[in-house]
Amino acid sequence: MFTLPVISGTVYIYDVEVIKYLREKYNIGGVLSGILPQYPQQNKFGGLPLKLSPEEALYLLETNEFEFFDDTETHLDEYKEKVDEDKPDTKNGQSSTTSNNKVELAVLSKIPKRSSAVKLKEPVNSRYAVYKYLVQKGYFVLPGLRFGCHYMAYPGDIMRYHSHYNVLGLDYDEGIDLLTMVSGGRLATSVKKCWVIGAKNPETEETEAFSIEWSGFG
Amino acid sequence: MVSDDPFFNSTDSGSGPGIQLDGRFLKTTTNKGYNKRAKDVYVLPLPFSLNSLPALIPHNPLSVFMYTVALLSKPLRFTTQKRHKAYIDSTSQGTPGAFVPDLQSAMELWQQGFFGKGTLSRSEPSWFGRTSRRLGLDGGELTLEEITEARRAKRRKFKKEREQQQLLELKQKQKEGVLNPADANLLDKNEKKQIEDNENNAADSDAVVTKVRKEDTDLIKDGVIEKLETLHLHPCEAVFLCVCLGVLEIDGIETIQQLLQTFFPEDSDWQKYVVYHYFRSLGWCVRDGIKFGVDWLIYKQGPPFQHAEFAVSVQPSSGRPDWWWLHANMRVVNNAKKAMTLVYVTKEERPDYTKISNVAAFRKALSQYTVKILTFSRFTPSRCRD
Repeated sequence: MFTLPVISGTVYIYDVEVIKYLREKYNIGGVLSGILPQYPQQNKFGGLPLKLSPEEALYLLETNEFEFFDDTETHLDEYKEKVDEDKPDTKNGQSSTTSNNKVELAVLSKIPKRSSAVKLKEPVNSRYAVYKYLVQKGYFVLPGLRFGCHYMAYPGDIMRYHSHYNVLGLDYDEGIDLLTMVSGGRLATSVKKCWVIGAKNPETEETEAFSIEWSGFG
Repeated sequence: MVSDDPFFNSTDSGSGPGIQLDGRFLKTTTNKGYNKRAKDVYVLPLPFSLNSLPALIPHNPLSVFMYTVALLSKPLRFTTQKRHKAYIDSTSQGTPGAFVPDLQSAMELWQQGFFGKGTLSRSEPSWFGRTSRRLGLDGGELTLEEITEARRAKRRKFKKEREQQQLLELKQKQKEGVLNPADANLLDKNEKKQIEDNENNAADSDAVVTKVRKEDTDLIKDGVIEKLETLHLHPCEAVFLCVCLGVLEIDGIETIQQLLQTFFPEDSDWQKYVVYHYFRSLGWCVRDGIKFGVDWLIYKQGPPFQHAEFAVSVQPSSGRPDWWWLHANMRVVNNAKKAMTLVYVTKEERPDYTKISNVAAFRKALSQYTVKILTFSRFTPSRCRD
């Protein structure tokens, strides 16, 4: 079981092994939000940490395979204990390495206890239904703000494919403006994608999705 | 043609600029030719004309006399004359807006301010001309639809020729034995595609569309082609023509109050009108923006002259648009090289229509609304570097 750190409601992953595991097993890509120290002048490729969207975090929570702990609290506690232990250390004149090890052990042992108290940012309900639907179908789903939608769905690993769908997650009874339909369909088609709207049917508890293509284009 | 542009007077014929020059030369000539014709046809910016006074020559007593008579007999303001007639679709699921059935009126409204859209055409009501030409009669000048179709056919032909050229090159390479695996793959693919295309073409030629169709006999009544097309006016256009210019009469609508109740039942309809009226009164040519997912497109002169410069979206003054919506629209609008304009109307409720009994009251109602304009464009540092 992996433990995932939460910083003010958002999951940041610093461990490459965990990132690999998430990609391979759960089709979760996340967004690399750090920079690459060797190439600080570009922002096309990010580095660690990997930031998970609220949808991704909730999806992982629901799998019951991950523990979440509050990174801020843990750090504060660690700091406090360090200060406490440093005081007698300086008096007795012991070396500090042994005390550091003690602190680490103490912190790790405390993690599972806190996991239940951690608060994650909550995704929008209607969108999450569509997100889950797509992930369970095997798509990699990334945030789609760049393409003016809620999600972009990739048919496989994000490094291998371009996204196929621009997805909008709505409430089942929510009206949709015709102009939104025009701009959505038009934009998706002009970047060679397909525009998808989806919603969860409250009666059957099933998510339904439709794809829309702008015909006669170009 | 060339001399009026200093750029073309240069005697430099280097290879680099030469290509660029050729491209520009072609472009300017075609545009100029079209614009010249457009300038002759689209003279009036709005469908009315002011009474013109005769020329005044101070030292000629006859001229002074004529001028005075004209000044006194014809007032300088334009006279409103309801010369265009329209009807509304009054069925329960009726299309909003008004329809102008008379082709002469329709053409006038289109040519003088670009109002409405032909119900069987892309914009200008050109169905009659197109159909006449298709049936072998004189249909006048080529319509926009036909120009587009011709351009697409040309592009298709060019792509096909390019494909064949590539195929030949690859085959040549194969003969010489210098074909690398990637190219071999491509060759295989292209050959398969060619076979497929040929099959499709064979199927196409069987079902070649004959120019004259079976249904065409129904179009001809008493030896002439029936005029099926009407001009569809947007509710805002209809109100603008009726109330503000006073050149349109709509069947069954007597008062301004009735007109507003029919055309602007919702607050949002009225807001859209306020924005329409605002840009029209500033001299812009305003047309519906549904093609680009916005409320209005505004042109400096009109569609035949240049593309719309701004895409206008009417926003409620309370609340703000979703980010994803804004991003999507920005991309669509910027792909068409337009700037996105958000317009906020400060008051959201429509006025009390029962109090609007005449044009003065209408003007007073409008004066209670103000609009705020926010124009912006997408900026990507790496792509927008000059």
